[in-house]
Amino acid sequence: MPVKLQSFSHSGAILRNARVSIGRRRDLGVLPASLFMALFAVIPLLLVFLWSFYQRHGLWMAPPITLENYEVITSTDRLPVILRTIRVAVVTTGIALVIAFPAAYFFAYVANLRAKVILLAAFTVPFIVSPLIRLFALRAMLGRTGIVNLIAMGLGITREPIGWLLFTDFSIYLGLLASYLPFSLFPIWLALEGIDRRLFEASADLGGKQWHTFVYVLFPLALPGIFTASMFMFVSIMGEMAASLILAGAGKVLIGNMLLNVIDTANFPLASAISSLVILFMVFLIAAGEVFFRISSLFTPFNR
Amino acid sequence: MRYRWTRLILWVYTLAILTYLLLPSFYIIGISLDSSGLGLISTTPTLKWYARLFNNQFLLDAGKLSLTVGLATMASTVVIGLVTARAYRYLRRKSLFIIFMVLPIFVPGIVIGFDLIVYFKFLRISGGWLAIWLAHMLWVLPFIFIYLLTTLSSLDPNLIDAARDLGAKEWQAFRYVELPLISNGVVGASVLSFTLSLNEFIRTFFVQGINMTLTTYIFGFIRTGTEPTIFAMSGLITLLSLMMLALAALLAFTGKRKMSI
Repeated sequence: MPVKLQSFSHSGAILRNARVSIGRRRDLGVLPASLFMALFAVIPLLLVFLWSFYQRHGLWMAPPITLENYEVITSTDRLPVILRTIRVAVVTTGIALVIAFPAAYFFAYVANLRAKVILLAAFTVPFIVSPLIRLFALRAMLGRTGIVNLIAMGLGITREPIGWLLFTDFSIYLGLLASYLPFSLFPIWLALEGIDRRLFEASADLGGKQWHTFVYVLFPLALPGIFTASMFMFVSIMGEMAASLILAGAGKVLIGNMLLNVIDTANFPLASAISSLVILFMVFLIAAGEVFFRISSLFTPFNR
Repeated sequence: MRYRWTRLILWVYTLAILTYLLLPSFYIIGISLDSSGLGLISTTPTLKWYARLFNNQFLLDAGKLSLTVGLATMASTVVIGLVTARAYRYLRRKSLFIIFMVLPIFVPGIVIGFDLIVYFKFLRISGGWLAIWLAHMLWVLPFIFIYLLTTLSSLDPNLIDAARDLGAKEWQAFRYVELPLISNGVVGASVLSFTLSLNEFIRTFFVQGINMTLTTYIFGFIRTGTEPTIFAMSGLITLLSLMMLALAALLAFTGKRKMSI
């Protein structure tokens, strides 16, 4: 049997055996996971979309098909919440990108391997350890008897405890950033890591100065990462309810809180409508990201 | 980099961000040791709140549930993740599949929680550990898949080929060659999945029915005011997660050096 010798790469050496007979097809392993995802991720989401057109029926819901849920969303009290959430999301994403980019640059080009492992693990902590606990901590820290005020008063900066640290927009931004900064760091770092270093050398050879190389070589190649980072942040903030609940008090609700309230009143069709909007927005973002920025390339491990 | 001070600035900058991110977690541990229970850092540390944790029956039940679901999630996601990651290599539409697998991460927890409640009611699995376990699997599987994909990418396929050439059957090659080489990654994935499951909150909150896990127990206190044992419990979970994370990070990157042929 002729053996293909043209490459010893992963796919080259092994792919020749990939399509033997149906019993030994090597990509069958994706079936369990695919089945699970289809069953519990895709179908429920499609159902939610379906239910958003139903009507409320006691504690449940049923046809006839109606658009009234979507009309309710654009009615008076719901729209400001959506707008506020979008505003908060845009601002927070912007700040997060600005803060995360230098750090991502650090991880990709300055840190050595050991530092990378340790520091990356450290960065994962906020994301993995329950956000609830951290938000609690933040509330304690920013309060009148919290550490921030203790230090401020101890250093003589203010005479009385600073009141605006908590229960304002400021605290929400702080809380959201604390929760989601790692989300914006990782995609940018992944993108930067994946750039072929020789491109920088090439640029320098062709006469590009450092700043020039940065703007015209590095930055465009980092765009998939930047887009993914924005996407992560946007979606997370749109689903966030804990931060606004814990740090902001009654007045400043986000879509997440609104959704929770709607669910509490068992108005499932309306909740489905809101969820569908969020999901549609997310699907649109993912599609745009894949088409324009090829974001799926970020998740595949680099071939050594 | 051309200028040494640029490197220094970046180091300081990154460490500063890290401090900002880690501060709340460590602050919680600090508060939990305070004897007054008012959320201050005191000079007279005490472990009494931690001791009180063990008297609370609700808490112990919640802890049991969290641990059980955590272990179940760990077992199921690592096995499924490994099988999927190994098969991924031979897949034709790779990018499509990756997006498909990573999808749940991009859907906000509340949306998933809500749609799972209704869906589960439909399927008559509402409430109970099965629902929580499925919800956790949905949350954890994408991460484990990516993690194992990365682990497998450092596995030299020539070693497997060599084993096969020397007469090993397929399962033998897996058990005696591949498994030992990726064992670090598998252990790391197990640790990661357990930690993720332990800390998951929003989806659990929706699908749990009358049960409670540790995280939803904490959530109950947002509305009813805080109690000092909450800080102790949070401190415990944080410490546990920190240790496991350190372990997972170490295991992800160390391990038997792959030998090149």
